[in-house]
Amino acid sequence: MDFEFTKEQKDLKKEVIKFAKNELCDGEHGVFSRELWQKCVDFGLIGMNVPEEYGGMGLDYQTSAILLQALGYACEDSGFVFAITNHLWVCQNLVNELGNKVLKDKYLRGMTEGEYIGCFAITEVESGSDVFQMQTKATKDNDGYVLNGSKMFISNAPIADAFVVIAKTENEQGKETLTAFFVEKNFPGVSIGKKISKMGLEACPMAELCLNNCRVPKENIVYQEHKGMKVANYALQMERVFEFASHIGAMERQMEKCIKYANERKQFAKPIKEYQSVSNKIVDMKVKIELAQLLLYKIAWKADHKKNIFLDSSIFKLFVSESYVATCLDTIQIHGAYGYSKEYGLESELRDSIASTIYSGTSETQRNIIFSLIDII
Amino acid sequence: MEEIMEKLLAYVTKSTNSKEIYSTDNIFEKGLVHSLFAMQLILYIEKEFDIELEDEELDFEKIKSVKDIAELVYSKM
Repeated sequence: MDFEFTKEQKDLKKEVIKFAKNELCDGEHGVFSRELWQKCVDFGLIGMNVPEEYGGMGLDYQTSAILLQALGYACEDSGFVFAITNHLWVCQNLVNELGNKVLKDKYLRGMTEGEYIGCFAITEVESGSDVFQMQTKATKDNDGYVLNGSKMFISNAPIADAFVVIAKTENEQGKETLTAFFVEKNFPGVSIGKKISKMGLEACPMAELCLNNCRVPKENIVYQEHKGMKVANYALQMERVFEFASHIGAMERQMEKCIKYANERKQFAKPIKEYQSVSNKIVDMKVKIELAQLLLYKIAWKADHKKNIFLDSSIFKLFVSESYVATCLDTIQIHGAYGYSKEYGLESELRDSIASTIYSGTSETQRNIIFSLIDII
Repeated sequence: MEEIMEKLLAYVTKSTNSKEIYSTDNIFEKGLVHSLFAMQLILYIEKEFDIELEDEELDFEKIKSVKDIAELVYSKM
């Protein structure tokens, strides 16, 4: 494994940081902006790992990981970054990596060019990580399926034009299976519930998705009929890595703020960095960032080489999300009353970070997965 | 080959909490496996037999029994 950045990777990273600092700080914090989304499309961010023939940049996972980290570093609205990464890794990438040519030709260019914002709909009121408890059903109907049910806590739903929906199906032997469908917002029977108010990530709005006799053509099946579990597992493992890459960048930004503040803030005639109880917190941030980066680059390398990353993705997700929350708490602590005030924006970052220990499988679920995958002796 | 089969049979029996599985049983039709089983199986095989598997190699449309899995492992050694 070689994690040495190439010149192209270094240059692209600099460009992303420059772009995000110059272009993505104009919007109102916590409010999704289609205009900023289009800027990201025009820059090429939305199509980073999509082949050039579909309007993307055709980058590998290693380079994509570097750029996502850079985006998280330079864009201070973590909700907006989450809206982007959500679209990229649990919708667009499923079409890109698992979709057949018909599905790619139909949607992929539109997704990279800003026509479709996507999201992933698997969670339901009574079904989270235990996906087979889901109630949403897809019934065969001539050359398509009819979907009925509702999906809950769907990130991007209020702004989305398309959804990858996982629903229960029945195979020829009468066995219960899962199948993934690409559903357009404009399909008859699709409706979006009321926006769900939440404690953070406001620029990535969330809502319920309702499907009432929604007819989906067979060609809109993602991957293969009855293989929805594979699609779901693939989506989750990619999400656990590449959505969380941006959090490492956010941690870097927070650490830099802490170093600056610890140098400037004086108490008892010396900068607070000279108190080890302060500097140790910053050191802990650096250790977490370095370890998270190593894991990220290792996993991206494995993904590029088509190796299994299921266990790695859970370990990474768990470590990054808990490190992110710890870093946000320490950042507030170092900044004292300024950190606690709304003016500095550090409290909103803490609220954003807490979501990372919940979505894509809670920390508790990640620990369960990790144990079940190492308990193989 | 026999040794591989025995190890796999013991592992699948234990990890699916089954009383008895035969090497030619379709473990998927029997409803023995859960959503994490495929990942557990890949990691077990890589660790126990010191080989690397790509996701696509464990195509459960073709590989349905312990015998099928043993043949795949044998072909990779």
